[in-house]
Amino acid sequence: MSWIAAFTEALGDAAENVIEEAHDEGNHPFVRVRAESIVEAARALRDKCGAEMLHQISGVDYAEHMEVIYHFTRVTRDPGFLCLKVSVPRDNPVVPTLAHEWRAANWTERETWDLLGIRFDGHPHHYRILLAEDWVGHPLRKDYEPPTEYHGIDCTQ
Amino acid sequence: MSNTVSETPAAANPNPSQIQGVKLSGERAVPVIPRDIQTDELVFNMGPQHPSTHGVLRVVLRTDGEVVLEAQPLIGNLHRSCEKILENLTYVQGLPYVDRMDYLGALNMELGLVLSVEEAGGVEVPKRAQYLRVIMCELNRVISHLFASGQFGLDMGAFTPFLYMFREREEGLKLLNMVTGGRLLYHYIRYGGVTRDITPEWAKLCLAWCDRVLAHMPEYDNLLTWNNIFLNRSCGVAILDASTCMDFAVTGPCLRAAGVKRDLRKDMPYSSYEDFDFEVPVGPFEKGVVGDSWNRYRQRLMEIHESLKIIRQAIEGLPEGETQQKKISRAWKSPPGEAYVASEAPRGEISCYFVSDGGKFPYRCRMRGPSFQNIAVLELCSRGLLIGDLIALLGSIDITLGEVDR
Repeated sequence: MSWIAAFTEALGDAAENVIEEAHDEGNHPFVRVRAESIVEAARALRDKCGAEMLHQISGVDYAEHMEVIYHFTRVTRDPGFLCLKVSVPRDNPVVPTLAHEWRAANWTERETWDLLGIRFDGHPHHYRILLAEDWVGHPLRKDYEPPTEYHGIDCTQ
Repeated sequence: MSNTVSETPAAANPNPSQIQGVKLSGERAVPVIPRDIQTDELVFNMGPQHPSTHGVLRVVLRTDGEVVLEAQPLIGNLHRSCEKILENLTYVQGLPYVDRMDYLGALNMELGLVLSVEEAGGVEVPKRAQYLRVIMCELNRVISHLFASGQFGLDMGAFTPFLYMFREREEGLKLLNMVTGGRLLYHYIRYGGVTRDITPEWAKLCLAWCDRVLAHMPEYDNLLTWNNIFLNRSCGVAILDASTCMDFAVTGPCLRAAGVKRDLRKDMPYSSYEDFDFEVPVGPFEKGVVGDSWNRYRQRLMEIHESLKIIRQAIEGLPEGETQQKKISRAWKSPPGEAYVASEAPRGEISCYFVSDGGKFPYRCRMRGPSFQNIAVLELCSRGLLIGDLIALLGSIDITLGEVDR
């Protein structure tokens, strides 16, 4: 049984409300879940499908919308990656935080906020991590314009 | 004055962060020092130019005497937005930038990106090129582990073993230089293969180097591993247990030293690692407790043995054939698709979430830097440590700031 089938089974009746799309083919199977159900989905993945580690959180700017991609991994048995995706609107990208479930989410969510401007609701320490706190804009957005000057430092060179 | 442990010093001694622009999280350790010798709390910077922070890591510490109550790593001093750079360059142009992320394990970082792109693009890699990748990456791993172990000794106050380990490291770098033309940054692994083949003469030199490193291992053990001062400084210090590692997504030698047998070279073999016979050492080792600083140090030395085994097997079993897939031209671009492939680098698991829209440039390359995830434990695990032991934690995690900040 693929992890997607196990995941759908683990969610039970809630599956209809949580899952938007399941993509079980190709080299990168994933499940797209509703943004507000990400915590529930991640808990089911951990408790029922053995996803012990939150390997990576990535954000992608798709011009019309934005996506947050969670890669989980099983460690003790049957290693492999499990992927959840969340789509958020570009003008108000907000996703509930996973920092209370996995502490690994703390820094990676901060990085996603810093570079892509996706907010994580309920994050305990929601600040920029790589860039300075007074930096304007989020560099990994596709329409980002780099500043010409930062505190008197010429950035055009 | 009573000699009891204070419950919370925060109320008695409110001391806001004295460093402008720094927001400490406010979670802190309960001090272990009896009240009558408690001193004023101090907030100060460790780094970003402190030699034992291994680069430009800045940690803001709140201390009570010698005890760390709270530590906040502040990263980003080396941030170059590599992911943005990769989005603005063609596939072939972008590759050398990846080297700069992890400058101590550059070949492994290259492999991390290349594997994902090849998976998404459906690129077949010739068997000989796969073996060459394995040889070079394992060489790079041995060199990186020698550096890390020597540096850890240095952090613990042992200067001499550092020089001994650097002697072998320098010879290894010369070997890499002969093949790739670069000492630390190689640009050797390309999409669909590698740039240069090795010669039989080089193979002989490499095997001789492997023997030499192996012969010197007891020397390192005598100088450092079983040194009583070093043992006292690192055994039982800064323990990272398995559940903390899983929680923080700590991978690589730190996870294995905590007793978890996870090595992607064995668990999800890539680049023909399934052809080689090697063990995955896991903690606990002879001294200390599972997951302490000494075990993390020991883990790296044990892994050097296994890497040398792999290099030997790969050189002896090197298949004939091409070193580069001929179809990959300078203007090659990946068809639309996405992939997530992880590989085992010296410091942990490197992976790349790669998205292509079929255009000239990659649409998104999200690199996972293992050091970024590993250093996040500092915030939690440094609470209650002595400042000297914080250095033991930092040194034994083995970070590269280039990859933390990317």
